[in-house]
Amino acid sequence: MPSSKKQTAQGIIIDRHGGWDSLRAAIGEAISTPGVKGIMVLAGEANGPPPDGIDRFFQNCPVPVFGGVFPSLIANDEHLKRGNIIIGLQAPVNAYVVPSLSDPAIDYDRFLSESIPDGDFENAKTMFVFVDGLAPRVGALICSLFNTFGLQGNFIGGGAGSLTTQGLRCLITPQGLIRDAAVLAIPAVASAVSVAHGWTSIAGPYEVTASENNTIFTLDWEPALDVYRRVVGAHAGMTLSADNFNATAQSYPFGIARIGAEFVVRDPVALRPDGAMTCVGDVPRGSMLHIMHGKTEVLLAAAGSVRAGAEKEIPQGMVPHFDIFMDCVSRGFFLGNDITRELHIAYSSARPMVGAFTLGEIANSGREHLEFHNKTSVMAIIGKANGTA
Amino acid sequence: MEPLEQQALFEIAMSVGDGMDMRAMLQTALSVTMRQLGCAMGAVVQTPPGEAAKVVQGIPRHIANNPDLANLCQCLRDGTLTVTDGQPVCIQGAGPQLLVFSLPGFGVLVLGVYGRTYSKAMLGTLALIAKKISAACIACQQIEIIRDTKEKLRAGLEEAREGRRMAEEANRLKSEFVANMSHELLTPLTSIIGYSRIAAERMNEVTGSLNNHLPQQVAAGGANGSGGGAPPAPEFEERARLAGLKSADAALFNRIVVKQGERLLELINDLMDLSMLDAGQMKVQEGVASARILLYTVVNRQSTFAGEKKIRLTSNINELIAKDILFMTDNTRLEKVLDHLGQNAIKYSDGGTVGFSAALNGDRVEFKVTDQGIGIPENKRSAIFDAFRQLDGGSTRSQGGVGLGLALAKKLVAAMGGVIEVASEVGKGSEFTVSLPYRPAKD
Repeated sequence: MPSSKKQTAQGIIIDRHGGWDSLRAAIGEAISTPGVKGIMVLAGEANGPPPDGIDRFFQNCPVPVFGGVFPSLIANDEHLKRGNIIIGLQAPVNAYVVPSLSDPAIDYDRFLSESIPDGDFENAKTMFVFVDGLAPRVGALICSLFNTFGLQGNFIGGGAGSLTTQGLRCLITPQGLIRDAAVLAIPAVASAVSVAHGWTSIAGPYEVTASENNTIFTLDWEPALDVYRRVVGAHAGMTLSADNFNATAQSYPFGIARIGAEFVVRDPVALRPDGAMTCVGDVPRGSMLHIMHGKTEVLLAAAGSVRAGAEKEIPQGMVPHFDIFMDCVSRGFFLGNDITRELHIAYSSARPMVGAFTLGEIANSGREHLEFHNKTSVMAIIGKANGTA
Repeated sequence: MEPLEQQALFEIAMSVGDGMDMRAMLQTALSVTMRQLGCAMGAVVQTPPGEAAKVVQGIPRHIANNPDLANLCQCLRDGTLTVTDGQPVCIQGAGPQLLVFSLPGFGVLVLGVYGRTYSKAMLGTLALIAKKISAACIACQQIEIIRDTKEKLRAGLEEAREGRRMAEEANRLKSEFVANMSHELLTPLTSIIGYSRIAAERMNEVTGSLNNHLPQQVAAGGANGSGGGAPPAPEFEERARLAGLKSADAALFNRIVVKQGERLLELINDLMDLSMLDAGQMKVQEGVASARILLYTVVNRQSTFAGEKKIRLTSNINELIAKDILFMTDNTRLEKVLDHLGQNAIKYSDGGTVGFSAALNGDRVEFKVTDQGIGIPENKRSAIFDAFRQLDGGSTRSQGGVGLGLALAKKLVAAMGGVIEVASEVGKGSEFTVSLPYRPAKD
């Protein structure tokens, strides 16, 4: 059995035991490591409710601490159902908190322009983005991030939170442990990013004729649930009901069509009595939606392609430090025990791989549009800070 | 064309023209287009005839600084690049490959992509969508022109309303001025006419009374050859005493007439000064001025008026005796300004103290007139310097005057290159500061 805590040579602490006290101790250890200028934290939901004083602890850390609380974690090719991962960054890093991801009045374009100094706009090569995964305006924020930064750097991140605990304070920020927000960290390091999922269309297109943020009201002017029930019922040979919705929907996500690229997957997670369906991530009105289905082997192959894609994107001169693998929690549910195969395929023994099972994944696929993905695998290879071995 | 391509193009086409705000509409259209086509950047560039091409909307935020896009704008401006309808141009710059579509009658749509190729059919359809973008931009522009016109009309209407309000206010002030002026002219004129008439009657009585008796007395004196050696008759003595009293009355009435005449003259002079200042015809007569003498003269002149209202006048004349401030200015006008400020302070005080002072403050010479009067509410402070306006103007006014003093003072000070400022607290009093450029008197 592996030891409960282990620090790698790359300044990464894998804490398999978990818990908030253990997390604080590990952060303290990382801070004391010479040259650490910022700390990324991936904490497990199994840590339980945060103790009193945790906000003060994060506020008082001498270097920016950012990250999230996720359903479960990834350490190399291992799926950690509890624990914490602490990554000490040797490069200077600035962290910014974007508040109120449920407030329709906030103009994120403006907020980002006013909050982030020009220096970070100009020099951003890599941006870690963690959001409250179930907040309704994640899509608007992602759109604003792209509008603001473009593709001058790579984005990597995901949705924090819990599928079982509502309103979980899931974002670790220099302001404390918060919810309904996002934390954006800009370290001065290079990176390479790749995205893939392997889901394929079984029906569509359906025009999204009414939607608001992450809720689809109608498809081709029909209640969204009626269309979905008809298609999925016929494909799966069963009758979709409220009781079997969660189990069935894991295998039948929506997909937004794009030219020359994979669909952007949207995971339906809740039904409304009026026949509307709520997804993780925005579904814009006017977009063309497909109903998707996956095959295990195709999804596993996507994990391989995401690894290969990231390796191919490594910029000249970048010395890889570690890999981040963000895998969707509902993809994990779909794959079941095969998730370990996926991790094994994604992992490269050349360097450590850390990550989390997330409520939505954030990445730009190579040099294309930034997206908030669902049921998708995202790989980023993070470079070493200049001047570090 | 592939079904997915058709769907994506449909979504792009549907995203165009959502709303009449051009920037918001383009932001939505660009965002959907870029997402669907996998673009790294996108911009709509307007090319107005004879003007530099400009980025109307772009993603990401700093796209206008992109050197490839800047080059493209320059080429469009100088005519080295032309993009014809339906035939997109492909340019390889230092960054992403640029696909440039004509927006007929408006400009061009620029999309930046890395390592992507699109079918001819798709590019053709995108060129058609570009026409829709162009039509939407032109429609938005026209709406903006209509909005601008409406806004200008609204502003013009508002200006006209304001002009009408000001004209009505001027008319009201004029009526108020005429009423006040009539009163101010009538009061001294009534005094002048009344007292002149009484003085004339008294003088007639004196002359008549003495004429009736003087010839006999003179004749009597002359007859006895003594040259008035005989004592006057008691009746004559009594008449002479009465005549003396009436002469004294007449002298007093004459003084009143002169004073009221002077008041009238002062009023007319103020009116003339104001009209000359408004016409820009008043010339500043610069000479050597002494702050001490100025204050002494003004305080001395105001003392009677202040005494009537039991107001104590103070000044820093004693300090100035030790070190006077000698400077170049228009003595007469400055004296008039301080007179008006003094009169104003006394007029709006009921007891207490009115203070006069002078001091050097850097390159300015400052005169201050302070009072412990009723004070001026903040919302009326700027209006008190308007001509014909009084703090308690209108039919309920409690103070005399036509409201010229402060207006004239302000204009005179301005003509001398200075400013008047007022600080005040209602119920506690006011402080007027006349600040003039300090030009030391030459030795």
